[in-house]
Amino acid sequence: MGFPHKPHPKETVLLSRYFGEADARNYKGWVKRGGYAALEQARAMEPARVVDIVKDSGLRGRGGAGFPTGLKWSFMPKEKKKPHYLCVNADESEPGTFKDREIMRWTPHALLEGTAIAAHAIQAEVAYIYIRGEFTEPLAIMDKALTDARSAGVFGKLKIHLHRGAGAYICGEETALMSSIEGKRGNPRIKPPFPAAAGVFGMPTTINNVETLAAVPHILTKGAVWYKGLSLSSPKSTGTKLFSVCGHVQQPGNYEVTLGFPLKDLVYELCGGMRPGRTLKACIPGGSSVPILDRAETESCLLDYEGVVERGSMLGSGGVIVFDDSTDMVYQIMRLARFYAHESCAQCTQCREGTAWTTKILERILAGQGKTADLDLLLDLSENMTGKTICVLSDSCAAPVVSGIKKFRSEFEDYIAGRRKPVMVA
Amino acid sequence: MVTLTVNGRRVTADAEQTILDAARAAGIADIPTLCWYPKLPIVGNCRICLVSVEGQAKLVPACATKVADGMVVQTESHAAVENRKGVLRLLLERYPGDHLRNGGRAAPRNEFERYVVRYGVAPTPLGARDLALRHGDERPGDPMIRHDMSTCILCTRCVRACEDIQVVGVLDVAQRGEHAEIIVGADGDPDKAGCTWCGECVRVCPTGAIFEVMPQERFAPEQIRQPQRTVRSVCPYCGVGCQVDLHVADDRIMRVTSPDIELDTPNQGSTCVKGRFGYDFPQHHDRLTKPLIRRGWLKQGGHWVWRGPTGAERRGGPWQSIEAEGQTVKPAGPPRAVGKAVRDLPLLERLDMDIRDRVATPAAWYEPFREASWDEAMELTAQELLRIKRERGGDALACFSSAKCTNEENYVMMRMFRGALGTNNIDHCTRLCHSTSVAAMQRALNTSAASGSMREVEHAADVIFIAGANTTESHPVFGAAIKRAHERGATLIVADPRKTELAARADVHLQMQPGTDVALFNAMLNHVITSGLEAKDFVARRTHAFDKLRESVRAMTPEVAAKITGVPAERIREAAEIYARGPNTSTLWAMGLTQHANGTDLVTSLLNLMLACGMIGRWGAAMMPVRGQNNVQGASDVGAIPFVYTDYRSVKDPKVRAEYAKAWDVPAESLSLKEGLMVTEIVKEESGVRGMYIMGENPIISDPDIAHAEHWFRELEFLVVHDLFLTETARYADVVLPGSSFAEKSGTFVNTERRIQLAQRAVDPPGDARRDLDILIDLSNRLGLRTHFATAEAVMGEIVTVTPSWRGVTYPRLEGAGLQYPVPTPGHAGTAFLFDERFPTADGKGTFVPVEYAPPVELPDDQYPFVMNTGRQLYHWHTGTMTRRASGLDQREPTPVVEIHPDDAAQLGLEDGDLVRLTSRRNAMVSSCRISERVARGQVFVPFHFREAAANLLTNPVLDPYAKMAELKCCAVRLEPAHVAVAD
Repeated sequence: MGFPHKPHPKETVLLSRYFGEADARNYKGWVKRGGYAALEQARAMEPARVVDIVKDSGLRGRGGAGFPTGLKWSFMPKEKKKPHYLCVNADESEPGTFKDREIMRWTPHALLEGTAIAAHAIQAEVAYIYIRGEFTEPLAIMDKALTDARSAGVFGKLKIHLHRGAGAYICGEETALMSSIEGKRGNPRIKPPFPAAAGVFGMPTTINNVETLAAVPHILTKGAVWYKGLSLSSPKSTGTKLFSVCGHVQQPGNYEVTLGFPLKDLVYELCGGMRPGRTLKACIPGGSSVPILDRAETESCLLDYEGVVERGSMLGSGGVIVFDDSTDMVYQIMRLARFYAHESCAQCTQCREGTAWTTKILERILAGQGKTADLDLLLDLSENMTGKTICVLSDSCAAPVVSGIKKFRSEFEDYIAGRRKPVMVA
Repeated sequence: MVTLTVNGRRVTADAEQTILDAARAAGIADIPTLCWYPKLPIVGNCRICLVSVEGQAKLVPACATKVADGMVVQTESHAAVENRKGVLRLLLERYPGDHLRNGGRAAPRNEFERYVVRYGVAPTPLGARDLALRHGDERPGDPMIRHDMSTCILCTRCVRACEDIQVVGVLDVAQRGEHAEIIVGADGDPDKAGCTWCGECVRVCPTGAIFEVMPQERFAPEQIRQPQRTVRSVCPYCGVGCQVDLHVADDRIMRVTSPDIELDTPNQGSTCVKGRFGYDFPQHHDRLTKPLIRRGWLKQGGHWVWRGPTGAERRGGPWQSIEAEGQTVKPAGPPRAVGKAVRDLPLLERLDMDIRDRVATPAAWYEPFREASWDEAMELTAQELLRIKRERGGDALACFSSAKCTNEENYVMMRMFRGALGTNNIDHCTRLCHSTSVAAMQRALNTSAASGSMREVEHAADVIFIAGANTTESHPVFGAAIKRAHERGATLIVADPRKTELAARADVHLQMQPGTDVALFNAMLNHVITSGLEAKDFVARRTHAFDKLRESVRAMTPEVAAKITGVPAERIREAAEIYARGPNTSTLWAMGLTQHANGTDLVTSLLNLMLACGMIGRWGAAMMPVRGQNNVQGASDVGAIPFVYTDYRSVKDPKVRAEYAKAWDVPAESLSLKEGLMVTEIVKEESGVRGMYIMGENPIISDPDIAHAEHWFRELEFLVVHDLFLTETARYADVVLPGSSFAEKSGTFVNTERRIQLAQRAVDPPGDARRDLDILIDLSNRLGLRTHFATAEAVMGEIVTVTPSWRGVTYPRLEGAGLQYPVPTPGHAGTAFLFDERFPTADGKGTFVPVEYAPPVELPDDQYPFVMNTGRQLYHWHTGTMTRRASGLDQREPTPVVEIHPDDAAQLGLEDGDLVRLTSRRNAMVSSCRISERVARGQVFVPFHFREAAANLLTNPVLDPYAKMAELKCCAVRLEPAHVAVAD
């Protein structure tokens, strides 16, 4: 859905407030809307104070893992002995997720302001904004915004670089992103050492997601207490979050709601419900890497970090993929597995071979050549692929397979037993 | 230290250790690893070493997880073991492992398969698999290294070995996911990617996906897996002294591997291409297997007499002289074709026969000789040597001993010449190597060897200064260590007229005109002194004559030197400051400095700089003349040089003489008190030498101005050559004695860091060829010197009695890493670095010897506008006797080349591979050219390995006044295209 559009009354527009307003992209237009005031405010404070405020706000990482942002910042060495770096993860590649793209398209200065505040808080002199290679339009907008703000002298001594990715999903993984910035193959690294000890170029580094940083100016201007108050359920999940909804709903798009918002309302009200004559069959609530929810789970799920876990999945990046009753789940799961097989960096054995093998088995099942033992083999493989590798790409491939077989086993069995017409997959 | 529990056992470990280190150190060896390899960066990608740690939700990689106090580790937990099986199963799914299904399981073929068998994992039958076998870049047609990437398990050890041990970076992983594969450079061409064929990738590969091709072509797989025996030896090439393991099958050397990377050997598990693949020359069909006697020698009435032609025909034969051969137009070499054109051609037909046998001994060379018995050959040799001694005195005889032979052989040789023949005319190729270094070091510090060790350069030097040493090609294993040091953060300064690999990666490259080193070093000294950067305390406490030095360099400002050397003054200053600030600067040099007619001065000026900055006598501040031959240090140490007995004790000292006379049981007066002649003095009409014994040297290729040398050798009364092959020099011999290669004998060698190492016999000499030591003992006895050594070890027993600094050496003590001398007492551990407190001079102080800059003897002019530099290539060794008969090496560099700068080539209308005629004031020769930016404009580089285009036809025989070194590195030449139709 394009912009401008009127927000749904149930939305809480904070980050998306200026989406659709071309003027907000300009430096002047942004300042007119109160932009960069938070940065000035932060600059007047000791870095540690900024960290404390963000800690108190309860803000958690919006990239997927949900790690408390202030706490992450506090891991940086207090006494600076080496250069500090800030990395901004704008490599938004998770299937079903397109929120950071809109933040950069419409409110580039919000990201830049959040970046500058974070850099101040962690005492970084250089920040890299790593933008997904396919995001040509957001990159151009960010580039202009950065040039304007820089020439306006907003950033002081802070150097901000835009770094364009080259089309690898794995470079959205934080350590792979750092390898990529260093000019190396984008392979995730073993942790520890964690980025705060040895990140990009081996120096102390903090890495944050675009949406996380875009929220930071609001916390500074309106206060931690106010932000903390933005919660409909658990006090551990505060603030607003953009949800990118796609799939079989009437009005797909980005919706900003306070955490704790019911998933049911998001799908049935904000997105206008399912297509006519169709019913909800399944939903992936947090981008393609998380387990699939069935209808009952979807309709009872609250959108906060704890609520989704309670239903057996994860909030992830907030990419909500909705399937209606016309969906062939086996095919959908194969497509997901194939994506991960294609994107595996190929370091770890389980991931490199496991994702490929999983995909081949699923393709075989779809082609009508499945064997009864295949489902056990898939589960066995998934077990082998979970929790064993350097990063979680392998786990992400296993998650939909395991949950899919558990919740939609009969569909697999139909293919294997020849009850369903084979699908030839290219 | 921390204490943890592994499988219920308490284990203490260093806090920096990983779980894997700690477990293995404690003898808990059951954690399997695939991607982990000692000393390689830890990537933790195979995931087979995961273990359970109490309190951790997930399994953790043992290779990448540091130990912690109180940690409780279970290496054999159900989860860990299941994971291992899972990993192996996944890898097997793409591995051609049908042989592992049943009977084959009893005989795992490699490291990976051993784990498969240990964990009892069965692969899916090939036909029933979902995934295809892996692929990757192959190296089709490669003479040494090939790939079978279907067995690759992507552990990336090869990538890291190439990148982090050899610091070359040819291999990498390309693609993602299931398509990931090992690639060779960007386009599969190892040549373009900068491969040096060192074989480090072969060594670390756990599955044999990267393998050596030569053993596979010659031996059965089971022979390769189960060698008849494996014997520790020392590589026969450069002075690094890499320890190697010779694998033997059918009583031939099957392959060479390097000892464990964790053993404290000079090479730490590495070798270069020569060491790993240059081992087949001892088995070449050219090997001499019977003694040869020149036809014309007849035995009449119990006495040998010459009945052959006299005059010019006396030593003639059906061959071209070196001079004529050099000027013949020759076919240019085939293009390097690895990974490209030869893809589908059978290797033997195309490369092995064509090129290898072109350099082999031509059949006609044997014509002037007849095969003889050992008794005949030795009898004739003894008779003639004794005759010349009787008729003309011992000093009419001379001997070239060999830096390729063991200490024991060199000792027995010098014992024979001194004790039986009464002359000190014994020398070896050190004369054309580091003799000027020895002269300079003797003058300044009264020492003759490196002060430090290679590993201190690698690990402790802050600055590495390299003058005239192309280390990555001439001493590749040490070159890699220097690159590793550079990667760890050491600053690299290279003074070299050529842009060698190290020069190209250096922080400062001082690219001076050839032969202007004194100006450069004096200017650096000038800047050091004017900036007050000299080591004042060191200079005051430990040196003499600094004032004289200061005076002598006063005029040589960086500006003046810039005009002479062509190096900008600013860069000279920068280098001087980096050098002087150290804190620990190691100083390395080699032939670029020494092979000049003023080589002693060149080295002296460098030593002045080193002493003024106090860069010696500390760990990390090493003085390292990088030795060229595997035993050039040892041959000198045991007295195969004209002025000294073992341990550099003067032949002029009657007290020393008495000691040796006693040890050898000869009258003292039979030993000469007169210093002998040196190599370059011997080969001169006025030397008076009429009979020669040459062991393992080939002066007709290696001496300066060899057309002249060739003539001189032809005029000798008697010449005996003791070698493996009928060399260019042996063609002129009266008697040729078939000796033994490094693999066929036991003995000791001394490497460039004074490390005495033990090499064991692996095979027997072919045919009637004998062990060198036996030949020398036999001849000594025939010459009347009682010599009764049964073994090399017995010889060492005598050497240590007359060599104070080796007194603590015994064969058992040399097992393993060997000993760095001085080892003055039986319990002494050896000496890693010298001179921390005093120099071995009378008062313990070093002396500055001021030297003035003098231009090279021969400067380019209108007639001879180019400066010619000579040296080594990576794939060849000296006169090519060995390497040109090593099939793999010879295929890499089959033909002579001249390196020329692209601009000069363009001006002369030359294209890569074109033939070019080089003419110096002495001679001319034809070679094909290689266009390369490694040489500067106005300079050419000519390797001296090729008899068909011998660089030394052109070189200038003018000698260094102190060390009698020739001007091998610098002479003026003219270049002309020599496009002539090539006849067969």
